[in-house]
Amino acid sequence: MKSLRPYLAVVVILLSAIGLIWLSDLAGQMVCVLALATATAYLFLSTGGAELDKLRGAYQALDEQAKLIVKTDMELSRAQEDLDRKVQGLYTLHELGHRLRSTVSVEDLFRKIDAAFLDQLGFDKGVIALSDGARPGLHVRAAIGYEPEAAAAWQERLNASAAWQALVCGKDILVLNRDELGTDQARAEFLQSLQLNTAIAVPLAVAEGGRGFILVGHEGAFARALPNDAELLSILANQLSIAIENAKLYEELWAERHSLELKVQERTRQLQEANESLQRMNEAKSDFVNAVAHELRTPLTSIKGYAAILSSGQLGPVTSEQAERLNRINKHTNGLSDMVDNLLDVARIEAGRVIMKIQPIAVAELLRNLQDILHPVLQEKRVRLTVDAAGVETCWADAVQLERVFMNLLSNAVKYTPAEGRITVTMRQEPGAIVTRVSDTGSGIAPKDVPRIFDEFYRADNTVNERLKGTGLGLSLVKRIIEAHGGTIQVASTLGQGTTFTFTLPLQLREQAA
Amino acid sequence: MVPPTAVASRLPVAGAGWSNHSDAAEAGRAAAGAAVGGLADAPPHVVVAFASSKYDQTALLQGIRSVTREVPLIGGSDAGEITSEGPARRSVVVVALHAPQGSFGIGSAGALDRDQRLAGQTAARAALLRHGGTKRTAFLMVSDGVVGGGQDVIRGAQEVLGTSFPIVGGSAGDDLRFKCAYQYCNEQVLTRSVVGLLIGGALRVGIGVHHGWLPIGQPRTATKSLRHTLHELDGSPAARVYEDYFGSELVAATRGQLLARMTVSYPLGMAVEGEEELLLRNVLRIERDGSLVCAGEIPQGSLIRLMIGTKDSAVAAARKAAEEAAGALQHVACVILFDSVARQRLFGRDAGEELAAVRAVVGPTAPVVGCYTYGEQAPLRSTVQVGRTYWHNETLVVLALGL
Repeated sequence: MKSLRPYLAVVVILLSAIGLIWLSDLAGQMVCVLALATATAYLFLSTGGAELDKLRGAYQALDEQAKLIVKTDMELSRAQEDLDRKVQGLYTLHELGHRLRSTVSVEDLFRKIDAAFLDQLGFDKGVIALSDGARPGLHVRAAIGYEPEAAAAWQERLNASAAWQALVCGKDILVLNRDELGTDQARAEFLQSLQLNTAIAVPLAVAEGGRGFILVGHEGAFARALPNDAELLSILANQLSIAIENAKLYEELWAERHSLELKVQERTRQLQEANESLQRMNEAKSDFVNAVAHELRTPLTSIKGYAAILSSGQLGPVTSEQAERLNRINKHTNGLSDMVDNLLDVARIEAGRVIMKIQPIAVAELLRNLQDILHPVLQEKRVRLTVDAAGVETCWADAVQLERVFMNLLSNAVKYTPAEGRITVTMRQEPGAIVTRVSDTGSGIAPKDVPRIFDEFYRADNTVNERLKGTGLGLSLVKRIIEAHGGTIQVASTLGQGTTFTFTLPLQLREQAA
Repeated sequence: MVPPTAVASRLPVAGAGWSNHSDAAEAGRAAAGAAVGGLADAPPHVVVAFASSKYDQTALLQGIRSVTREVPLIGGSDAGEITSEGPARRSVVVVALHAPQGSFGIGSAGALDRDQRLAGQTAARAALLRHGGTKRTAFLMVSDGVVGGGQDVIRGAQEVLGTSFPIVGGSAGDDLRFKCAYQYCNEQVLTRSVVGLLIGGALRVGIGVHHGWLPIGQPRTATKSLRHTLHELDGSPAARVYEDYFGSELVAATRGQLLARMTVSYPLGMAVEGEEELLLRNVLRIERDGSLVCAGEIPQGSLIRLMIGTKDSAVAAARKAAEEAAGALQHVACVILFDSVARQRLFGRDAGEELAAVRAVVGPTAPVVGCYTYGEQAPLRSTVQVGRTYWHNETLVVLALGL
């Protein structure tokens, strides 16, 4: 039907034109003019309209294409943006990971999460809070973008609100956007308290019983917190949790080590004090011994003098019984006098009041003298003494003191060596010193006594000592004399088999010889 | 460092400084110190400062003025700072200009929320009075971006300075909180105000303004619109333009959001007579009744298009704007940028790219500073517009100062 309309219009135009020519009355002509105009207009419009339709169609199609382009563009830029954000976020986290790994203190750890870091992640502000064993509640450990007073005030509000704590420390990740909150007043207030428009909070997995969270957000009105951000923050929270645990462990270790060090220092100090007080006591003892010895010496000399006068018969004849008693007095006062001398020497050497007069000593002569002196008592006890100083002709020492050393060691050896026993003295030159060994095949020293035999007045607990009296000063004196020469003395002993004393006299002494 | 020849030949020079010190006074002092230090021993004649609203503004300004003393100062808080090294946030940037051949007059006006047009007039008149009778070149204006009504402020200033007198600048921001922005006028920190610096004498300016967006889809007519609110396009609710292209679901999801991502990437374009490039309008909010609240006024009857762009086209536009601004001068002393916060949002972490493009055009010597604004103002160049200043959105305004 539609396609016939233009032809109909042409027919109408033709008929109208004929009518206009043929009809003479005005009304008829008017009708013809009207019909002619209508048909012409229709014809014009219908042909031109098709072009317009075509144009309109193309225009619509173009707009549809534009919609497609816009949509594609949006999707592309959204994907690109997501990707950028993720890449940047991961890069930043990677950087932080590096920084955290090299951090060993919890405080430093929180300092590394700073404004620059948050900025790189694309956030404006952040809070990290943790509970600690010492104080109740959550404690803000880092507040980026907040003044310390504001952070402290917020911490108080947080600890006062169970609802807020549930928000940030709950199992779920909190993602808040102010314009999505609707009528949720509590959350709106929470955001307001932090002066944020968006917030993401992830709980921190800290040690048993502890809790904490990291929260970041945007101040800006058009920023959005997205699920991607939450993902990123979870990774950060994980990293942080591990780093915190590591740092805590390290800190504990360090603290333990530190306390150990402190303990050692304390003990050392106590020991030093004890040592000092011992030294003071020792000095007091030496002074006392010195004083007592001096006090004893004068009456002893008188006693000896009077006994000698009595023995000489100047004061009248002496009976044999009296002579025997006088001999005993003499013998005991001699013993006492020796003891007093020894005591005085120990005290004097210890106080450094005795100066060793170093001089060369002919070893062979020294040993011969000793053998001569000891000969009677050796014979009496049927003990053999052998000396061997092969290769040692001279040694350097204070002759009087060295003889004392030998006398003490040898009389000890004789004392503890049973009949038919043997005593050996060997002297050898070794690097840096002349080493002398005095060995016997005596009863030996019990292991428990070995460490103490050089102590003053110490007497080993054995049958010989029960029988024979002694002062317990001999070895102490020997040790002090040897040490005053710069040498050392040691003892090796096997119970029932014998004892060896080994002492050294440094060769350097030669240089001190006058 | 300023080449000694520059001082000797009395060319205008500038020094810039930046600080993100947490203490406001210290930050101001440090940035101003670096800016003045950049002039070598040449005295500054005018100082421009932009800073984050996070700072105690009074302390900040005191810090700056402790260095620059009585030198005229203009500026404002923003939504991000621009330095020669790139974009910055939560900081302060200061540029000090030594231009013995220039003349400057500063004016301000308050009560912007009551009458924007009057405020524009008052500020311009005050600046004019202070500037005196010498030759006038351009009016650098910073108005409160939270209050809005930028186009009316421009109208007011134009009524005093002349319709074709170039007005450049942007609106002060507050780090996108939309609560309170600040304007700086010498030692005063103002709010709900407009401040302006009339530049004249022998100092010349070069201005470039481009955005890089192209229209897509069919044109529509703003059949019902009142100031910043576009109610209807072609007789249907204005939000239909977004629903048609993005689907009603996405639009419903964005409802209530401020400056939704979709409207930043795809702003509206408004045809202006004689201009090839359309003026951009950011949609701040999509209302329940389907009307669009924009960041600039849309006169009823305007031809409206949906706009599309890419980061590349935006960078190219920045380059073009810099070329036009710098190309107008023989010697560039410094460049001040008024960049839209919407562009900052669009570029995200790549915000440095467009600034690098500007820097590449300007060269390494002259400082490039600026701020991210809630709206920009700059003159259009076509013969029909004869340099008349308009309010822009999502656009980069490049102001070059020199000879």
